[in-house]
Amino acid sequence: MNRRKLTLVLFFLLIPLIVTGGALLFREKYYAWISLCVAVLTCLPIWYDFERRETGSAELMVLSVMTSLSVAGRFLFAWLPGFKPVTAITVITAMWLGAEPGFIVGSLSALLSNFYFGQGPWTPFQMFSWGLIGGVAGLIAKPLRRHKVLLCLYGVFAGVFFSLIMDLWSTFWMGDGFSIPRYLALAAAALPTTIEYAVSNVIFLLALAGPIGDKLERIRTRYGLFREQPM
Amino acid sequence: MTIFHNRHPLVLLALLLCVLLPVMFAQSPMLTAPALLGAVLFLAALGIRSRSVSLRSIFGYALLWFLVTAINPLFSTGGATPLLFISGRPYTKEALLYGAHLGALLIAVLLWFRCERTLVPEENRFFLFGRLAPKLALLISTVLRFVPLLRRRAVQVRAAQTAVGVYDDPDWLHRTKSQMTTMSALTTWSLEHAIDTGAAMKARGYGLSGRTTYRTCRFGTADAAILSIILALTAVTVLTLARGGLHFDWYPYITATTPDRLAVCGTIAYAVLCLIPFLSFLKEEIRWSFYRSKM
Repeated sequence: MNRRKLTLVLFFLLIPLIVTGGALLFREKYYAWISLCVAVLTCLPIWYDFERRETGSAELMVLSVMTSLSVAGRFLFAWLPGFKPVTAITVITAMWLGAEPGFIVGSLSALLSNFYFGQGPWTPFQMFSWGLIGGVAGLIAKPLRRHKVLLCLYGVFAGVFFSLIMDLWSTFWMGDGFSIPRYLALAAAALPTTIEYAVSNVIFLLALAGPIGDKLERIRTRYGLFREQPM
Repeated sequence: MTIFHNRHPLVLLALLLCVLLPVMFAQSPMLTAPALLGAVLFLAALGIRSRSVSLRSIFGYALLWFLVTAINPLFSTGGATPLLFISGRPYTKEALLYGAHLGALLIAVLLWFRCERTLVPEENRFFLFGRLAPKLALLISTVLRFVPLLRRRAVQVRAAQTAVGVYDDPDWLHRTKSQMTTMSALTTWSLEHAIDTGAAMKARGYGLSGRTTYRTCRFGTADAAILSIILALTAVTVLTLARGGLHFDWYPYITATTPDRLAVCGTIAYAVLCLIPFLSFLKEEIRWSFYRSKM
């Protein structure tokens, strides 16, 4: 079964089943249920593809090290609250190694850093958001590498996107249905954190994209890793 | 020690999903109360036995509950019984009660995640994942090993940097800058190491067929029995939910459908499910004291 078939099954069987089942069982929390399922189901085809594909042991270890760096970086910068290098490391990985490695590093960083900082119902949403941030960065890798301004803009976008997705989940889960005033109130309450995310992303990207990028470029050419990823 | 230490990890995963999914999305206090009770009883029993009840975390949960309860009416004005008016907006009784329920639900979910952590040994968790998704499982287990290693290496890198004159300035700009250098050095070191690890793995036959796991779990009759009990109890709860038996309206007035026989069955089935960890703990405690008294 390839990814196309899996995607078809997801679309025509699983999604209608989830939608109708959720509507029947959980009337008020319908939105929360749907959004949780969307977050999980988006990750599945990409992980499945990754599992199917031939990946060398050195490539696996590089992905593992990049994920560990973003988790360990949270400890390294723990003295500055809200300063997390997860987004930056994910984006840098995606810029030099490709979209799929970016998605894997982003989603696993969320899962694994929550082993240390606390798992909860928000974990799938963090995996989804960080995975997507990495995947999209991989798709526009070339311009991101060339223009510093674009990279900064992407850092700001990633911070805002991450924060808004998390607020969306809180709104769905706390309220009965979706209420715009509640969403706006939550987003406003989270505004300082959002700004912190955006600013720290830009700082990390500007400081680390050069040095870490060079190292990734080096192992890519020297050991011939991640050759099948389009660049 | 509970029954889950020797059981197939699938059984525990099923229990966790069957407890969490209905309670998280059904919004009925008839499910929230047993879920909270089950988790609190189990964690309290564990805490009392190991004499490590953390007052700080109890205080933290109480504060969380209080905050959610008090804040909800500020956002939601759906209720029909205003208690007071804050700048023209009603602060209603229904919204306050809904907030109290929401807080309890939030705490119940958090506590169940804590229960899960104490119920399964780490290697069991990876066993299940390792069969389904071997590469992701390998990534997860190596990351869990690399994180402490990288933290230790970061300390070494800092020491070396201090020795060549990069001091820890109290100025946050300098401190951030020097931490970035640490990150960069750490990356060089770790990526080089990753290539070596990859080569070593290849030399030892990673990726060949016929791989075995450190922990072998066989799905036995006891596992099948417990799993079918869990699924049967959940089927009753889901049937009740589908028939609208546990329906609970918070706004504009709090109205519950009068519980018929099915709703009572559904609540009891769910309560039994939630009490499984606590009951298995009790069973082990009784067995232990029984064996000890004979010696």
